[in-house]
Amino acid sequence: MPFACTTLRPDELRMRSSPQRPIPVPTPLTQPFWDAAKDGRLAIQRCRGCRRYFHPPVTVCTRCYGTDLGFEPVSGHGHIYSRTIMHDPRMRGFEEAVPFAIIIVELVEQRGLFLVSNLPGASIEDVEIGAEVQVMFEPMAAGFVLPQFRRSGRS
Amino acid sequence: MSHIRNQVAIVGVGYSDLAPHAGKSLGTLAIDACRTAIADAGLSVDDIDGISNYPNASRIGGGEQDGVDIVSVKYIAQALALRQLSWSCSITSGTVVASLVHAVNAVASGACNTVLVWRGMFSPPGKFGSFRSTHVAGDAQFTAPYGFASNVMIFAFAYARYMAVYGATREHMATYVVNARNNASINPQAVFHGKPISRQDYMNARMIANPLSLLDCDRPVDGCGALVVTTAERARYLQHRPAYVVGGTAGGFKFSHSPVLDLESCMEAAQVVARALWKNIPGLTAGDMDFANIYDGFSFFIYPWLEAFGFCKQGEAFAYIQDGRIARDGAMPLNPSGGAIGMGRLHGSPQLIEAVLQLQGRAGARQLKKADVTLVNSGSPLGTGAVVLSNEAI
Ligand SMILES: [Zn+2]
Repeated sequence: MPFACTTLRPDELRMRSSPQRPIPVPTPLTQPFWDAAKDGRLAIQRCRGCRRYFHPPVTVCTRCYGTDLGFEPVSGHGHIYSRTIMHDPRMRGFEEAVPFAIIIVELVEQRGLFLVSNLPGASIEDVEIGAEVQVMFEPMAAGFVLPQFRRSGRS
Repeated sequence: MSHIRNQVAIVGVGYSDLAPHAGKSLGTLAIDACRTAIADAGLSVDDIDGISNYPNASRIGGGEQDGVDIVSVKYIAQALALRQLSWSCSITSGTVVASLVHAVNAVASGACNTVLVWRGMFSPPGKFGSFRSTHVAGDAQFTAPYGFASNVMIFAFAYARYMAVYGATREHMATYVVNARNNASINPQAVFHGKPISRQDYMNARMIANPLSLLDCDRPVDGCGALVVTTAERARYLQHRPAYVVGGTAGGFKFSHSPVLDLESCMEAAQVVARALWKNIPGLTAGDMDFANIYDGFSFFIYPWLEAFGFCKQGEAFAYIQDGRIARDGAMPLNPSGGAIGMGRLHGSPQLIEAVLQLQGRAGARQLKKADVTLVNSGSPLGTGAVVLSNEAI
């Protein structure tokens, strides 16, 4: 059940302009995440030994210390673990976008498996801790596709 | 029983000028603070045989020009011509109280006798903690493209989750911030000296990263706090009543793996530090403290710290601070200096130096009625130092 979100003010979210997002610089370790997003899939690194997911990806499993790790598709379903509304234009490229929402999504696959999103097109009621969300994909500069989330309407 | 218990004492403290933009280089400010602390102890530079510092640049991507936006151990050793040095330490997290803990361990071990500790803060032009890059590598490639690349946001998430889980509101936090500003208003060295605020001022404050408003963030300042520690044996012959270090610890690590800081990891990190502190000083608990000096670089930090150190149960700190308990005449005065929220972004000096002044009866208009034993910490749960200090060897 979603938690009450009593501290957002009515003026906190309005239509925002698209930010100029900083462009990821992938490494061989992180490239599969971005490649999957480009194909419209959310893929998360997983230990093939003990089946634990890791995001960001790691070079060694910190549960079983195995090194056989690979990317696997995940459901893209989760809930809003927490959120902030950013008002201060201290991020380059986001100066015109404030105020904007940032949420932490906890995926259903594993406790503490967190991704970040802006909940595009969100209204205040949407940015509710506990609400269920599902993945969507947003093209950005330099050919990157950014995994984002939207309310799944099942809450 | 810890090998350090009451073996080392703080014997001198000092601040430089403290101001949003002091009009002096950070090097000048650090030299001022260090010389003031040495003189306050009644010692000279030739008595200093150890130095301990947390030099991290106070801005992301800072130029790290020694004497301009950082002040390293090398800088102070040269500037003060410390020719008796036999020990030095430069740490990467935990700010001034962690620097103190390492200094105490060094003195107790015999590596040196008298250590100068300082933390200098540079207030850069423009916004503190701005993100200016067009590209982003490392773990931040999973956060910065969403506009998430600043300390204030990291802790806004943990605070928002805390509020949702435990039912805390901004009205609850108003009590802390108003109290801190009230304490600062009678502290001549505070950036907000003479500037108390009302609850309504707090509730109307401009949001930075909801639920953290401008008044939940300490104001950047140029300035430095410094102190001198020596053996308890020597301390007894110096001019001020010794502030004994009863015990201490330095640490603060996140044990979960994620691109963000979740509340549970934040609280767990704080609990590990607190357990280490109390294990270091068997027989004492939070209930034995006369007052508390808890790090408040963001107001939210007082909740996980008060809970972890055992002043109250988990999820109850927002209720614990109500009803006058934390006022200067309350049952557990909290940050009588005004803390970072009232004094400015000094990374723990408003906690540590105030604790010493209170224990020595030198806190002027802020002096508490009973101030014989106190807990001091500095830093977020992800990098901290914590000590218990007393004006008696307990
Ligand atoms: Zn494994």
